Amino acid sequence: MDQVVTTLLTTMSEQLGAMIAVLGAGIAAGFAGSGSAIGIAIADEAASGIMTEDPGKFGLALLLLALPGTQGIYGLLAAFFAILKVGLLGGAAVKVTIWQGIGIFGSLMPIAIACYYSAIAQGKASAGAILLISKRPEEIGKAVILPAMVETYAVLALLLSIILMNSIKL
Amino acid sequence: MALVEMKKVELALHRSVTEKVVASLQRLECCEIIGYSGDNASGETKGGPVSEHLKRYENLLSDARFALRFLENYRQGKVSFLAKAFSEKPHRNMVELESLSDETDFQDLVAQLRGLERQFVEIRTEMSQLAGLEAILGNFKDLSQPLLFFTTGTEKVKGVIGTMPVDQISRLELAFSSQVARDGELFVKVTDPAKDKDAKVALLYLRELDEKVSVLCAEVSFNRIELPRELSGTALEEIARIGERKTLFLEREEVLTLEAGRLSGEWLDRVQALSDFWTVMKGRYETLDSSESTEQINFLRFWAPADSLPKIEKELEPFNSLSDRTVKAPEEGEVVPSMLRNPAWASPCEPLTTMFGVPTYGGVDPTLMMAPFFYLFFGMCLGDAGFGVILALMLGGVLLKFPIKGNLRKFLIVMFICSLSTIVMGALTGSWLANTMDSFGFLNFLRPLRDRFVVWDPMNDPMTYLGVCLTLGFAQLIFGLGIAFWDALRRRSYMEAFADRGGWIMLLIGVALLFLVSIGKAPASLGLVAKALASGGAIVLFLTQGRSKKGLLSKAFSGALSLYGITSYLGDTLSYSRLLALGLSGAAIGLIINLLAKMISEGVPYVGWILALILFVIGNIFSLAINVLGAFVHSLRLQYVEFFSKFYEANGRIFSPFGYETQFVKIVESSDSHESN
Repeated sequence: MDQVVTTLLTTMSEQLGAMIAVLGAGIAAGFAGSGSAIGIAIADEAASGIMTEDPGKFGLALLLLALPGTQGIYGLLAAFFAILKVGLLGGAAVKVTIWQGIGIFGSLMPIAIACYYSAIAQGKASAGAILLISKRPEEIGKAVILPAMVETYAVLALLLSIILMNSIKL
Repeated sequence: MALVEMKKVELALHRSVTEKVVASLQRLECCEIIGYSGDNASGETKGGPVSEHLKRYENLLSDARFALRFLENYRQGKVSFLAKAFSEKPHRNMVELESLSDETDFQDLVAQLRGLERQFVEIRTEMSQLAGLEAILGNFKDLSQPLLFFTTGTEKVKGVIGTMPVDQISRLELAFSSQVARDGELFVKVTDPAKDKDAKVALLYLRELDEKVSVLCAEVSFNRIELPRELSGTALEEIARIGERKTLFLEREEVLTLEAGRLSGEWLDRVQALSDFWTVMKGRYETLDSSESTEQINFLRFWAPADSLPKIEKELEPFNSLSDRTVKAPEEGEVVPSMLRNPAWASPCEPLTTMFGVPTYGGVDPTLMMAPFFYLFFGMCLGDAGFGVILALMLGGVLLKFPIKGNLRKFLIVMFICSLSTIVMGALTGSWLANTMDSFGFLNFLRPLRDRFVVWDPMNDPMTYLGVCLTLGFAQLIFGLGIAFWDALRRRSYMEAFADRGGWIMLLIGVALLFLVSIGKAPASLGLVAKALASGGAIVLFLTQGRSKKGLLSKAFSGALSLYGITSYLGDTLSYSRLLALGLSGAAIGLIINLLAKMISEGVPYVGWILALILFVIGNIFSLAINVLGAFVHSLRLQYVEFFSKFYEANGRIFSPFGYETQFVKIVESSDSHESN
């Protein structure tokens, strides 16, 4: 019995840290990607709507509805960073303690949460901007800036995630 | 950085020369006409020839729009997108265009085109009718009786065809056999019993049973189909005949299309040139129409840049004996148009400024101050020398190859300068398509060369680079406040300059220095200076920010509350951290692409390197696209939100000179410079 417990504890101390980081990476990429998908879908509806009137607006609409897509990329990015850090993508073997794993998990939370919500919000902003260019295509410059205001907070979250992850020394 | 000085010119002209003067002003393209907005603007003195001309050109233009739409539809040979967007407009001069307009029998062309269009419409209507009929007859292909029975009928026999619900058929059959029996025939067709809800039915009966059958039909919800009376053969025969007619129509349409194509080839360029010419002429008469006039005299008023006045004077010299001219400075309360003028390296950024808003006349044009920051920040956001090189080559190529004009050219130049800045920033941070030189063994030899330029390594030491970003941001904010300070001094509002701006500049610099001292980045000896600056600034703000309030207490309260504004400056400074984040995200995507490419090239036998190359190319194109968009939008946002908010007043109206507004051709000076009109 004692032996079983010891083995269990040994494997835990050897592998659990990295796996907690993997869990965080999964959550980050999953939530950020979902947020982007929802956000783009919201903008898509507006884009399809204006294209029933003028299919020629496809290019402009595409530019705007691509904006909420960045969050998904940020999520993927942070997730890659995390699994790279715990040595799952090759390179020298890294020893990750449970506490370090939890730290990496925590560092991924800003990106997971902020990207999910900001992508949806940005999708709404993009939809509004798409309606703007349906009437005034010459205002595409302003229409791109407005949804980008929302993205600021996803960028800040990415920044914090990277700084936090960088601050965990393995 | 100030705007171009404007003057208001008032011209009194004798009727006989007005048209020529307006034509000259239009050619100069440097005057913005001020329309007369008085009550008797359309009084009796006007109208007459001017209105007639105007009306004539409006009619011509409306015909031209129709002709252009038609001819462009039948244009032979497609024009490539690039050629369409970037190619140079053909050059024409006014004399040439005028004689073209006189020689051309445009009405005849329009009549021809309208005729053609009508025929196309007729063919299309006929074809759709035939298609409908064909579909109906298709359902009765198996009906052997001639359709004559079902259209007019014969003396004794009559018939109807139509559809009815499938579930009523047995009822119809029963009733038909009992009531009509041998005196008629019933044809029922159900194409697909499982799916069809309606059956195709034909009834043939003796004419005398007409009434009975009508009642019968109504009972089973029979839905009669009316056929055109001229059908007489069997359904199959008629379908064949329809086919023949369709072929005939198609042939005719082909002939007409050829004719339209021929006309398009012959006329399109000419109509485009004419449409532009008429637009110019319409503009000219509109200006004439909007001027104030008496029986003999027309009054023209316009804004013109002060430095173009000599040019205008010279142009109007021939009319001096018949005109009178006064030049005035703008008066208080007048809305003067703003014209931006900047050195060549900054002027491409003008559209970025006006996109935010046009500077108020007499205020500051921020283009010059914004341009270097915008170029630098874009470079930091994209931050990859490899991307920079690719962009620079692409944009440089396009700029050299195509004679692009206007705002598109400015935009491309902005992007070109940005890509140069990207190369510099990428080299300073050691990013050449991310870490390509480290990832792939055969490129390792370039590393020493790359490392020679590296100053920062944001990937491994993000905090230092974050410091660089925030410092730059802080510098831009202080610069913005400095501009506002200078602008206030220039306008002699000293309280605003020293109290509002000066107070904040002192406080912010003091606080920033204190921060630097506290983290050991600045010598401790500066501590005292920092404290003095910070407290000095705070005291100035406390004492002055409540100055518009009444009562000592509310003055003090407002003054103290204003210090809370420091949080917004803190937020603004931190906002520049996006420079690091976007730079990192680009580099990280590149890192991942390289990692995957390397794994594939090493893991997949034989074809691995091909797959890796494909992944590398596609991945980098994707990364370039989204990162350029991000870099552009976010560096622009930093200008708009963080920088402009410190000083920029954008309530102006852009100067839009009266000139040749053309769509298809470029109007150039004719060899004999004065056109006769």
